[in-house]
Amino acid sequence: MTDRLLEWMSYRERGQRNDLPKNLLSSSNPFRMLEDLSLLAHVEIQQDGSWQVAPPAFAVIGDESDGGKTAILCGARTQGVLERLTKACELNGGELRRHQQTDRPQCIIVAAPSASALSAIANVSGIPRQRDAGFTLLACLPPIRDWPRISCPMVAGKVAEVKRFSKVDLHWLPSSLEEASQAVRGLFRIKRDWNWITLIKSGKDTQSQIDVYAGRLAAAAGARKIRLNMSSRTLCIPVTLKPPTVISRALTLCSGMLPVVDRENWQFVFRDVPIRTAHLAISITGLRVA
Amino acid sequence: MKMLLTIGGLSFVIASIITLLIVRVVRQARRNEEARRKAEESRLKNEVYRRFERQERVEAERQRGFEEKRRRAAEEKARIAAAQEAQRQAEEEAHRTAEEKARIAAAQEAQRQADEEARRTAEEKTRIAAAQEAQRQADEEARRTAEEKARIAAEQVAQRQADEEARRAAEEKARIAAAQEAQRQAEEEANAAAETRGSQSALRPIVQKPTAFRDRRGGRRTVTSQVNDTPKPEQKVGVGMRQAEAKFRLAIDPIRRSILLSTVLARPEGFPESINVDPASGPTQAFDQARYDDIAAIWTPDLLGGEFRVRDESQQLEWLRSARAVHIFAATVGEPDFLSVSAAQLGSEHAIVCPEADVESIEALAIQAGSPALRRYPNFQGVPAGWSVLGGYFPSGALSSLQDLRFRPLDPGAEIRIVFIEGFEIRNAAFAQGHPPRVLIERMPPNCVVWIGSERAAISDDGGWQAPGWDKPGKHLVDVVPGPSQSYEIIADPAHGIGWETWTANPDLAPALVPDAAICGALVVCLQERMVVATEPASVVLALGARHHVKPLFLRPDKLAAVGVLPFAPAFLIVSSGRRRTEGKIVVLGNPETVQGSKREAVDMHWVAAVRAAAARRIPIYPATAAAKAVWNSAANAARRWRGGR
Repeated sequence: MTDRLLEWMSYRERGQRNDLPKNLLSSSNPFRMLEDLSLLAHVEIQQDGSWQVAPPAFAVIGDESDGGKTAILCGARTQGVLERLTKACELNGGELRRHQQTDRPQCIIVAAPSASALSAIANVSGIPRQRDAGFTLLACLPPIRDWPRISCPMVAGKVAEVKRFSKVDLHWLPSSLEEASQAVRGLFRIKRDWNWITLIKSGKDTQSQIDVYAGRLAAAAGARKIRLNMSSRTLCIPVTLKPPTVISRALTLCSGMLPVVDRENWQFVFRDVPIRTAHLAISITGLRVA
Repeated sequence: MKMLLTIGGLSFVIASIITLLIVRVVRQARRNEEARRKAEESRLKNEVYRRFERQERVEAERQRGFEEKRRRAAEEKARIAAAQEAQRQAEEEAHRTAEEKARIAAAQEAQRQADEEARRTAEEKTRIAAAQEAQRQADEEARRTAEEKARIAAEQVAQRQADEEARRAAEEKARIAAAQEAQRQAEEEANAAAETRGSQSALRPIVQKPTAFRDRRGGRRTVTSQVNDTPKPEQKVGVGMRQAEAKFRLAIDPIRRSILLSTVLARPEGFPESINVDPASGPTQAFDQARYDDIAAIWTPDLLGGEFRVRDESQQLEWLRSARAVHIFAATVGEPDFLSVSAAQLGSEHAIVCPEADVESIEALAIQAGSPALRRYPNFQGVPAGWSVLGGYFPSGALSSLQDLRFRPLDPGAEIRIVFIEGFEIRNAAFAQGHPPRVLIERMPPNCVVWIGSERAAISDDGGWQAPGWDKPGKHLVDVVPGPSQSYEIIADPAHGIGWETWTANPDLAPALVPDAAICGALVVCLQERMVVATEPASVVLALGARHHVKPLFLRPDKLAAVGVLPFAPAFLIVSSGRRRTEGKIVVLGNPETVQGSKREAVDMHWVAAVRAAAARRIPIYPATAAAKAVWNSAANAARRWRGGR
């Protein structure tokens, strides 16, 4: 059903979160669905909550040292795209592998006999490819400490709720506007009349708006919370320190599958992450390996 | 000895001189060689500078070409978009026009049907009235004929009596005359017998036949002609009488708990401004072109029980409303309260006036028609005994079974409905290419014809209506003739068209490190067709084109990756961390378009140097396939050829 949703979105190209048809959403709420589709590089979510489907693309897994002959089909997906891709695979000896994901669009992996064959498939089907997609995405991202933020004055007046992110406990604690105003450092989340705003303090009178995911990582900078298993090539990040979508997407594109939620340790497990990609991701997040 | 010494000294001097000369010559040759080498280097530098300038010019030209191409593409895209928009607007306009025409046609059809109904009703009334008039005339004629016959019979009797009397008087007169004649004859016989005994013939008596009287006028009188000549006052009233429809207006006042009924007389074309149907209340003026002012009606139990008819005798005008079992009133545009209608309509509110005995039957029929339960108005003023008013009749479907035909006006009738089911609906009535809807037409009479676009449609195996090209991208109109129409659209698969737009989805992320780069889905894209390449970090990372271009990649601040924005399509990456063979690698990027290279441009000196240097180190090649090694060896041979050819 979610494959139909992806096709529907591919035809619509863009829309609002509430536009998603209920009968194609399976059981999840639209926000989670959009977030997962964004992790899988099918759509991009704008800051105003609207979405736009990304063009079809091959996210090549690994570089030429690893072979570079498999790629994940990302972006828009319609019957026409699949037909072209199937034809290109037949011409160049490629193979389409489909992996089911629960309540999410299936992961389509193109396996070619060689990197040049994969490149030929991309050319014949007219679908651009991104070499070593996960690593390249991460390589273009600034570290969390330099993550974009907008300086702003402190919130004044009546607010509905104020929360502070605890670096030790890694969750939000009740706070007050006064504490937020007086704090020299820290991450605060303030509920105004109509929305939430996330402020990171860099001085008593200096604060900036920042993405909430990036803000949590910035607040927890240096924490030894990441687990890296080199043998199984898994990277584990606590759920409360979930990275910004683009970083998560880069790690997701290493395998093409959404991260598994380890409910025992309450962490995301990204699979098949190359070591150099994992190191780069750890460096960008500013966290340290436990 | 001296001679030998002299010769030896001279030889030494000569040898020294020769040596000095040779040294000088060698030094001069070396100086000349150095000067030549410097001149050559200077020439090569100038050549390289010129090549760089030319390359920059070419690059700038390429950029201009790219910009021009991009601009043309954008213009073309805008033109296509404008054309599509114009096409869409035209189709929308055509669709609107068609809908408007269909709506006007439907309204005209409804009006025509109403007129036809009114005309039929009027004709029926006229026919009934004519029949009644004919019956009455026949009765009158029969009565007159009977009277005439009776009169003739009386006259005949009187004639017979007169004849009998005359006959009797004549007979009496003849008897008296005969008696007188017999007495006279007896006297004469007595005289003759006395006078002559021999003369017998002169004494025989004469008997005369009495005279019969005949009135010959009776033979000329014709009753028929007399009947035909008799004036017919009813016929004279009917001739030239113009008829129109009479309606009723029902006003329900729930606050005052009263119900009022008034007469609304239609004003067809040619009817006067003022009429006088009730001399007691004076003339009634025209309300508008279609009707006259309301005339308050006194709602008696008999008013709605039969035919309703009013006349303006002076202007030979007549309005009538036929008799019916139930009276249905509906809200009409531009009219207050409810006006009487001939039959119920789907989805409209109606009020029903009926005899009390029919209330339960009508309530059951209303539920059958999908209407909510009807409202009753008990004890409302104005409703005569034996009648009931029911409100809130909203029929939503046809009556499936109607036993009592008196209630046929309650049936809103069948409605043709065009339905699109299944298919992959992207927007309302817009479906994805390859997943068209199944077109169903409900309650369509057998005399209708279905068109999809300009093609006649037929029912397919799955029960849907299909026509040639019905599932092709574009807008399609399903037209039921006669009947409604509805359009749907098949949206073309973007993969078969211009595809999807690549845009700057995260404008503030990538440019922080890589200028002009943008992330869109899984792609890292760059403006002006440049490419972003990232690889593992090293002290030197060079990106090389197939036969030209060399560009070093820069290291991230965290030194965990090397990134670069390349104005060319890279074919190789040379990653080097030291001078040892194991401290470097050559990555063949394996793009079939770039590995061949362009043979038109002159060979790039820097590219040649970089390729020769890497080839000389014999560092490993990735991927470790024969094809990759062949590509690299081809490049290395090209670099060697140029060097050797110099």
